[in-house]
Amino acid sequence: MSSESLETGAPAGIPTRRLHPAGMLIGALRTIRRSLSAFVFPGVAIIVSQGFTIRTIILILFGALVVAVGAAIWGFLSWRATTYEVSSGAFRLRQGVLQKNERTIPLGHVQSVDTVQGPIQRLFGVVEVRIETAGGGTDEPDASLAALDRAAASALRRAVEGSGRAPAAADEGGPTVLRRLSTAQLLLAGATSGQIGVALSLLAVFSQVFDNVFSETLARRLLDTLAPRSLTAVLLLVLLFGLVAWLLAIAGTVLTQAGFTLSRDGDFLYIKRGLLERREATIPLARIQAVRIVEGVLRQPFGFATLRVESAGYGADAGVSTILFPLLPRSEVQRLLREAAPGFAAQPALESLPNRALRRYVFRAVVPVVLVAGAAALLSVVSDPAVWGLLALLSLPAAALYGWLCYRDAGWALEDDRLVVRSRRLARITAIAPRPRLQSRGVVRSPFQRRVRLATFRAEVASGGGGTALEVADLDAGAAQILVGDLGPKPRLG
Amino acid sequence: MIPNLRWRRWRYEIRDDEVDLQRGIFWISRTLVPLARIQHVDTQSGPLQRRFDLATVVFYTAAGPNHIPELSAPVAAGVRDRIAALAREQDEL
Repeated sequence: MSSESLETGAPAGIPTRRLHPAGMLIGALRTIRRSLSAFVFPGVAIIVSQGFTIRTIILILFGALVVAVGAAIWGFLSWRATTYEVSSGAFRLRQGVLQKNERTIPLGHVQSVDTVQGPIQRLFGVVEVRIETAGGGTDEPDASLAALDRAAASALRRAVEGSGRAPAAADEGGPTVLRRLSTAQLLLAGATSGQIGVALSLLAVFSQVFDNVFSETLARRLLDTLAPRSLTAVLLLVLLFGLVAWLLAIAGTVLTQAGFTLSRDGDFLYIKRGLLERREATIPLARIQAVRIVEGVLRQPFGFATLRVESAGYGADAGVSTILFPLLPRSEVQRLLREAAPGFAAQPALESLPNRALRRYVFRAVVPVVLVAGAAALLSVVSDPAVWGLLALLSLPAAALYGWLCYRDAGWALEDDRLVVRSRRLARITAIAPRPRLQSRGVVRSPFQRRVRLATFRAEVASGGGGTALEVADLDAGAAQILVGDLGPKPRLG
Repeated sequence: MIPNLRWRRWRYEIRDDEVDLQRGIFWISRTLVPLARIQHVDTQSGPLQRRFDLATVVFYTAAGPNHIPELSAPVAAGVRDRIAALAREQDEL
């Protein structure tokens, strides 16, 4: 006990504690969920072999009871066995009913403390706390506490994060909210999310299942009654498909991004989001490597953008690049950046590419289209020459236009030691990284580029477990070399 | 012919503050890595490389590995030690 009193100068630790009692129930439910697959098969087998008689129902109920009681006992035991503490500069987690497991994480290695609140945790007013370390990068968080009440969670967060914080920040009054996502913007974000592709593929899988369950003849009869002419039917179906996918995409965005709130407390950014599952994530400012302003195809015309950050050593669970804010007017991006991450606010006039780069951009956009079209012609996917001509007539100018757009949007600047690089890959992306964050930089010159003195510039920043590149194609070769030189380490004075 | 060219086109230079890598026949790429960004350095050699007494120097930044392939083993060891020493020097400054 005397040793503790010696450490009064150090940040306050947390004595050995258990989880909130709701942890028992949550643990039990997890056990049931894990073992469910093991019991569904024999259950279904019994029903299939014996039919729905009283005996089988009793048997199944009995089985379910055994599982539930077993899970409850296991939940209690593992709750009793789980304790955590913060002392002498490390976080310790003891777990395990049969096989005891003790994990020690030095506070200096903690990357982030996130909280997640699922529907059941919400019922009890508790949160799950996940602790990630720099070396993480696997799917599982390095340490996860399934149920802590609010006070315990914030005490833990303070104890863990406090170690890396300047003492002056201690008397600041809580985090300040920088920006909230309004409901209208949430819906707009969903409607323009571009996740429609994901939703479409999901629907495709679903429709295959549907096809298997209902016989094909039934589906056809349904279609026949819906629309007698096959072309109308197909169009109708495509429209319906698209609409459902779109609604799914909106629903997905609403579920994950509802109530998105970005706040800042000293050197930490906090993100809260989610409708059913409330998530709270911490991003230490010092870990941010680069910021990306992403203007999606559907968002750019309305002047909206998404802000993303690349942060180093963040768990794969949180995504290698994290959304800093899902949707905001482009004109307000810089203001938010100045408030949230001042080191990354930069809006210099960009150097555009030389005129001779346009040909390269159009060429690059058109070639894949020509190749695909050529392959299609060879395999005679489309046999009707009229349709074929029409496709070529439509797709080639579209590709050329896309190339021109990419050329027009590409640009770069170096101002105040911050590299700004803009390019388009469907979405227009502006990436901002301070020079000291660049891990390497270089140029690549293809034979075509060399002929017209152009070069592709490429810089790497750390992101997640590996790196990510900031790239612009077809800079003037001389300018690219100068840029590479300017981004080099400055000779130190003194 | 091609391997020969590829070999002849590989250049590396270790300066006081940066490592400069240049390679490629058609797609010529040049990469500069500040020594202050380098976290650690390895030498690696596979069975075939060992047969010819060759080694690859691999140095890691937070954004991933960079390779200098097929140096003769003693040269590779020298390069590794030099990068390590210079990187440490950068850290101390």
